[in-house]
Parts: sequence; C-alpha cells; structure tokens
Amino acid sequence: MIRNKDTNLLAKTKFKQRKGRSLVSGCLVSLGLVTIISFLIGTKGVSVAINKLYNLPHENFYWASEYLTGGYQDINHDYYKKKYSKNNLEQVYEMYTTSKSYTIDDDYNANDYDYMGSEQYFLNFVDDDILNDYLYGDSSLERISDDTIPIIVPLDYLYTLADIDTQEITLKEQYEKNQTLLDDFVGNDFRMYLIESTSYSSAPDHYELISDEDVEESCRDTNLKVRIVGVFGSGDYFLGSSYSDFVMPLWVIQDSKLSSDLGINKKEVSTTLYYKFNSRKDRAGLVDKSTTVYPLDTLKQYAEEPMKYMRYIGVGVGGLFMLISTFITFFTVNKIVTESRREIGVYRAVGARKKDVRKIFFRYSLLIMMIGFVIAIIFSFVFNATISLLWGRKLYYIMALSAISFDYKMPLFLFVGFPILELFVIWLISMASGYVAAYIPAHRASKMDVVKALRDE
Amino acid sequence: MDKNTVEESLKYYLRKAFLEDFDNDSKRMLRAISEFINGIEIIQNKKSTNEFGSEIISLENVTKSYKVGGERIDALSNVSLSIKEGEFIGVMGTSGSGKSTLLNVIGGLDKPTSGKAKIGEYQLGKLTDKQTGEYRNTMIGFVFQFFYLQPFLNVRQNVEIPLLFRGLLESERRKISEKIIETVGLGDRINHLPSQLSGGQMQRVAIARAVVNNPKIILADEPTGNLDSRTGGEILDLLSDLNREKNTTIVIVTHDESIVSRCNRVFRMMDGFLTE
Repeated sequence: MIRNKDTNLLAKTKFKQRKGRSLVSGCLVSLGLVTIISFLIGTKGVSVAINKLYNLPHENFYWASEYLTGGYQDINHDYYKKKYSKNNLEQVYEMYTTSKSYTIDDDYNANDYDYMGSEQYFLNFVDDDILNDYLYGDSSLERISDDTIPIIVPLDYLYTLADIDTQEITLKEQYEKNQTLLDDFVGNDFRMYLIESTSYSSAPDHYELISDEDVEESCRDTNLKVRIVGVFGSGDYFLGSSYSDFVMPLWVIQDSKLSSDLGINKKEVSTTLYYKFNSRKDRAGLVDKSTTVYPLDTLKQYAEEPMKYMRYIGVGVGGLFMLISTFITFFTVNKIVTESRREIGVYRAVGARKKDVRKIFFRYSLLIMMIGFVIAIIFSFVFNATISLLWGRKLYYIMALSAISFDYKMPLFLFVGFPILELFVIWLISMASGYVAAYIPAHRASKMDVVKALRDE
Repeated sequence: MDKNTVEESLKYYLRKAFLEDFDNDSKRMLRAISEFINGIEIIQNKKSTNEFGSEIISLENVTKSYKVGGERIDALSNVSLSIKEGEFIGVMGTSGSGKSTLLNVIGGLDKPTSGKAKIGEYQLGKLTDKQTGEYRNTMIGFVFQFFYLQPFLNVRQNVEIPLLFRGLLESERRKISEKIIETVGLGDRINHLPSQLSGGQMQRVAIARAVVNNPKIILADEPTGNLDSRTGGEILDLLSDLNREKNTTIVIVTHDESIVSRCNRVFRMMDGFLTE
C-alpha cells in the first residue's frame, strides 16, 4: 500500500507531464473559489465592522465634537475620560432635570462647569487639516476611545435652535469647502457649518428648545423612551457660543440611574436609539417630527441584510464556476489517465494495487484543487484588500453614520474578514470536487488491462 | 555444466569470431575475438545444473486464448514447464509466437484461460488484487525492452517505485536503492533524469528497478532489443551477475541468438506451443 506522501510524488509527475493544462485547470478552479472566497471574506469584514459600530459600549462617552472642533488641541486623554465619566454625566442630567430653564451665567467659573464641557477653549477652529484628521483618521485622534457617538447636525437645525440670524454666519464660505469633504463620504445628506459668534458667552439657551416633548414627539413612532439631556457643542457652555457648533453630539441617557428613572432597560436604550437624517436633507432628525426613529437592531439588520445577499450571490455564482471547473478537471484527469497508460502498466507490474493507482489520480485531481484553492486565497485577499483601500473608507463612513457612531479606528481593510469556518468548509468542498472530478478517470485507470497498457504500439 | 552445452556455446562463439567474413574489417574482427574471450568467461561462470534450487516456476497445461473478431486464438497452447530457482532461461521465438504472453502469465499480468500456474507459493489466477500486487512486488522483477522509466522522476526515484508500493519509508528506500544503483554502475547518476541517460544506462536503471525488491524471478522481455550489441552485452552481463550472485531466476524473452550461450536452458515458442 502506497503511502500518502509517496502518492504525492507520483501525482506531481502527472502534474509535470501536463503542466500547462494542469495549471489552467487549477486557475479555473480558483476562478470559482475566488468568487466565493472574495465575497465571503468581504462580507465578513463588513459584518465585523457593522457589529463593532452598532455595539459600541456606551459607557464613558466622549463627545467627538471636542476633538472635532478644536477642543482636542489641549487634549488630555485622562481629562476627557473623567469629564465624560458617568458621574459627571449624571450631574449634567441632574442639573437638567432640576433646572429646566437653566441659563448660563456669563461670569461662570470654568471649574464650576467643568462637568458640562465648559472649558474655554479659544477655538481657532477647524482648518482643513483638522477636519481631515477627523474625517480620514489621524494618529493624533487615535487616542480617542471607541466609545463616542457624535452626530452631525445640519446647520439649519442649529439656526432654528439658536434662533440665529443667518447674517451671523460669516465663515460659511470657508466651510463650504469642508462640505465637499463630507460629500466625499456621505453624499449630500449632511451639512457641516461653522457658526461664528462674537462672544462665546452669548450662547442662547437651548434647553427650552429641546424639550422632553420634542424628544417624545420625534420618537412617537416607536415605543422607545429616550430623552435627550443636552445638545452639546464643544468648548464652552452647552451649545455655547463656541466657534464650533457644527457638530452636536447627542447624549443618550443610558446610565443605569437615568435608565431606571425612565423605566427602561439600559441596554435597550444604548442600542435602540437612532435618528434618521435622510428624510430631509437639511434637518436634523431629532427635531423633524416626521422622521421615523428606528431601533438600532433594525438598522443593524438593514445593514447586514445586503451582506447576506452578497454572500448568496458569491456562493451561487462561485458554486456555478466550481461546477464548471470540476467538469474541466474531470477532462484533464481523464486525459492524463489516457496519456499515462504505459506508466499505469509499469506501476501495476511492479506491484501497485488497483487502489494505489486510483489514489495517484485522485491525488493529482486534489493537487489541481489545492493549487486552485491557494491561488484563490491569495488572490481573494489581495483583491479585497485593494478594494478596501479604494472604496472601503467611503462605505465605512456611510455605515458609521447610519450607526450614529464614528469608530475612529477604521479597519484598514474593510472588506477583509477571516471566516475561518467557511474557508475550511470551502476547502473541504473543493477537495470533494477533486474526488468527484477524478472518480471516473481514476477508476478507469485502475481497471486498465495491464498487458494492453504495456503493449508496444 | 554438461559437456554438450559447453561445446555448443564454444562453437557459437567460434563461429562468430572466426568463420564470419570480416572483409578486412579489423575492428569488427577484434570485437569478435574479444566476444569470444568473453564467451569463454561466460561459459566458465555458468552454473552447473546441481547448483539450482527447488522448483520455482511450474506451468501445467497452461492455455491462454484471446477472442479476436469472434475467433479464438491460442497465444499459449497447453504449455507446461518447470523452472528451478537460480536458472537462467531463454525463451526464443518469432514475434507473435506467444513468448510475451508466457512472460505475462508468469509475471501475473495475465491470467491463464486454463491450466495451472504455480510460482513459488502463489497459485496464479486465484489471487486477489492485494495478493496480485504483493506477488508482483515481491516475487517478480520486470525488465522491458523500452525501459519504461518515469521521465519526471530521477534515477533513484525510478528505482524506488516498487518500494513505494511496498509502503517503505523514504529513509529505508534510500538505503536499498542507493546500494542497487551502485551495483548497476550508476552511482554517479543517482539524481539524473532519464532524459539525461543513454539507452544502456536507462536499461540499467530499469534493471535496478526490477531487482530493488529482491525478487525471486526476473522476467525480461527483449531487454537488449533496443540497445546496440555491446551495451546489450553489458546488460546481459549484469543479469548474469544477478543470477550468479543472488541466485535470482532469470527468464529472458528474446530473438537474439547470442543469448543462448548464457542460458542454462532455452525454450522455443512457435504458435503458442513451447519446446525445449
């Protein structure tokens, strides 16, 4: 009985005998496998990103706006961590619940309002580089935790909120060009502006604008009980007269204490809030009462659904290719058997059993499949990595926006996942195809009449 | 060795060396003389009958028939023979006389239509696939006219093929094959591919492949048919050596008369019938 390793030795001679044809067969096999594998690892990569985006732990919030708008200039990681610790947020909440018409004292002491994000940063504000850093990732931002949920709010909304005359917007033009950056990845759905205010202390009072009623009204289509505690700009005050109010992160109450106040489950809140922006381009979902609020799980499903179909398409089309390539492998093995008549005769004459002969040709067929598989794996990963670099970022930010979360650390290769189990199954299937392809030829080889095989023409 | 055989053989070489018309071709004459001297050596080295062991090949009324176009053709008709261990047997006959079929039946490649064929302990025709494999692997070594080497394996790997089917480990195989390759005089070509060898060298490799499993019987079908006479002679020397040193039984099918002198016995085949 021939050993497996030695079967390989003989199978390889078959490969060498018909190198071109064998390689072509292998490549055809890989074509089918590439389709399957590429779709699988691609969708896996995206799924992983989706899961990460939608399942961000919402404890220890940071407000992205801090970083966005210049607050990060004096960034101190620990400081921000503390600032947005649960404890501080609770205080904000308390303040909100106890004094609805809270107005900001012009002569405030920074320390008093520390918990509210009231440091006075004189924000020279977002230049293109900073914006780029935020949008496209930068090492200086890597220090930011994953746990941030910024929402970009249309300026119109801000105008409404703050009752600001559009005349006040003096730097609008400058930031129009930032809009093009945004357009790059979110299309026209979101707008980004800067309000320039003459004084950071002249903040309008926003609490009255975002009332419980507003929130409940906007959530009326769902049974969610959510409450917006504040609309924060970065820098000073709540929506202060900061230079940088174009980004307003919304804080979702999800702390245990607050949750119990509201009578809802903490987890539920943290995973079910979503503001849909796209029904009206220039309005924030929150204040647009006609906007539907979707639970996060539903959104996650929406995001994952296409992935599912992509997988079906990949497996379907790839499977079809595999079927064709199995046929082609069959013809290749068959031809090799015919051409190996003499050799089969010699092997049988020196003591090979029928089984040994079959094994050689099965092994040869598997060799073709293996080559196909290896080519497919390498090609798929390279291909998907390239696609990731080309288009991954754009898709990622669309996903991130729909999840109301910017994960600062975008995976470098969005379309590259590692579905180990699936790959293993594909490996098994391709080996099985190898067996199927070689079944008839291998049996033909083993049944060959030795005398005829050795007869000279 | 009986007197008659010696005389016969000497006559053959004498005739070849001196009675031929050389047309003043001194080279050919010299070669003939050296062949004569070789011939004497061969005769001297030949085993005598009492050196042979017990019966190893026994055919009793073996018939092998084929049907060609509805007509029955007997490639072997009632062939009976008995060969003892260590004999050097020649089988001569015109092509189509059935000599290759005889070899195939002995080698277990072909099953007799009727009759008994017992080789060693093996009753041919009744073996399973596994036993057939084992029989061919351990009892028989085949040498073919066209060598039939695997072109993509080197000398060592080619020689090791029978060992592969015995399931030996590479280290074990290497030990055996290298020794054999050394014996057939190809120690310096061990990693060459067949395409880098001459015809004689290829046949040496084939012989090494045939004997690597230390078989009891070597069946050679026209082993020199594809070689020039000198190289052919060397190959036959190699087989004679094996016969003498390892007591391997050798059956050579040929129509080269020069082989007769080396054989203990010569069978002649004609139309499926065997005569001694």
